[in-house]
Amino acid sequence: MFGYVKPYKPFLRVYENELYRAAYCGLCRELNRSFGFVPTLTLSYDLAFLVLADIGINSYRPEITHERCPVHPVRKAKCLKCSGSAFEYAACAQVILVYHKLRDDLHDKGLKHRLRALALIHRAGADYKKAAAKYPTLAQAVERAMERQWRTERKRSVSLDRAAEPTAAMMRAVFRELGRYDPDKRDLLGQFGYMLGRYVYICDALDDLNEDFASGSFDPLIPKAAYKLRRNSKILPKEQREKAAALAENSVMLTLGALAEVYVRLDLGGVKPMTDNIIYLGLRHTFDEVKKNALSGRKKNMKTGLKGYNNE
Amino acid sequence: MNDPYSILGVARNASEAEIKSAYKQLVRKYHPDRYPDPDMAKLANEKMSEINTAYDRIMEDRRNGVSYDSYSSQTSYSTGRNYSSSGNTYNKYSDFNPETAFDAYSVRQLLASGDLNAADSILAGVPENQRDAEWYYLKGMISYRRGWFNEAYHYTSQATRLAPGNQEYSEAFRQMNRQRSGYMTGSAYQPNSPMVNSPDVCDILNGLCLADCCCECLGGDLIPCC
Repeated sequence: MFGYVKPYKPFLRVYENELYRAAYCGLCRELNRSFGFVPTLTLSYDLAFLVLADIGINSYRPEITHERCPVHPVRKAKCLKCSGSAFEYAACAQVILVYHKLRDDLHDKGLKHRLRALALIHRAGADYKKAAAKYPTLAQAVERAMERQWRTERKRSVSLDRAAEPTAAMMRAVFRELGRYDPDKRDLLGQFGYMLGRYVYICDALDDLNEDFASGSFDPLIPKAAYKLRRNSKILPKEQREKAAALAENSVMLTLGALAEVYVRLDLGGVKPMTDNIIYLGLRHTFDEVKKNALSGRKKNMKTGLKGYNNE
Repeated sequence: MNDPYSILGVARNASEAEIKSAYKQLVRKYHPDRYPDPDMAKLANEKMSEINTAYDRIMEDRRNGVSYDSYSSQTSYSTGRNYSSSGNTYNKYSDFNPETAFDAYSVRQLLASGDLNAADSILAGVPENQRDAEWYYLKGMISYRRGWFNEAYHYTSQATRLAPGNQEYSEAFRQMNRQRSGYMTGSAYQPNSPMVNSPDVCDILNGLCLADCCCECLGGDLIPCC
């Protein structure tokens, strides 16, 4: 996940905001405890959503404690703890996703990405082994999804539906695992993850629109013929930007509509008010921001590398 | 990797329902909660993750139309269903005459049972000039179930164009259009309204002034000072 799944702050109640940040804090602590300080730097807020969903689905009873940590040395921060494996799983999922993201960066992208990937990959690989040993199902699914993603991107001419499939399948695996001991819920959770992954992929494609055009990399929102325009200018023409944004918007709306159909069938218990905010307002709002940014033609995107831009 | 079919103990040509029931049985059998002894529970846990992996693998491969042959080098899988990677051949229906349109009933049944690849391969066997509204509708439904919403929208709109009077098609199309315009089931927030259309102070004061005027016309007074 790349920082597109987060709440819409203005509509978050005060206690929800506290709970959300406490979940983030708890996840950061868990990462620090099992994998050391470095992986905590890659943490983005949207993994907190995974923790919340896990708590909701498996009815864990979380409690808020006050903790001091290297990032907040002076003031004790509110930190969520819970007895089940919610935090442990999210931490492992984060490590697994980051490792594959780095491997992906190593193959393509610009020099900056490659160098950073090169610097981090050794360390990430060791953590990955540890996490993959705990959740082999997830590790395998993510690995296969990344392989397919790579093949899709090399083909360069696929419909948005097919291009989104690997990321969506990856997220399906991430969410299926929430129903580890409950086969009845696994399929529903998987569907939910699939739609969420699709949303994330389309957001990401739109977010990278101008950068991809400038560098000539594959982007499913740019028609193949449009790449010829690069001879004249490295900036995507306005009408092409509008076309891409319209395509992305239609797809995202359809996806979110279907996501909501599945979401209402999940029993999320006490965390539902928070996840409601994320699903019904946050996703939409984030997409609108991404769209605005992409239409303006700026190359800079909403996410800043691995760490999702944080909306504090 | 181990053959996922043998882990679940099902035949390679088993239907999706058979696989699912075998999977559920195994999950019940190896659920770690059933083993109070920690060592046994650990073993059960390992077995669980193996079962889960196998099940996910089979389901995903079927979804993507991967042929089963890739798992075994010797036993060639020739009888029964044959999902080729393009999804074009489906031997079970090979006696079916493509000239008389296609068997919409069995496609619908396969769709209901969740066997999307089988349904899709029947549809793929229909020549392009014989594709009618029903074909487009079913194709759209399959795409929708796969999560390929752009294709689903395209096919469903085609179906409603070919058969404008059909209630079923137009209902599905209407539902998709509703989603496209931002409708989300279960949302307490109206699309766009919380962020854009909430009344500001001017609107409220305007409303109060108007209400006051109305009251004064009728002999009362809402705001005594004006």
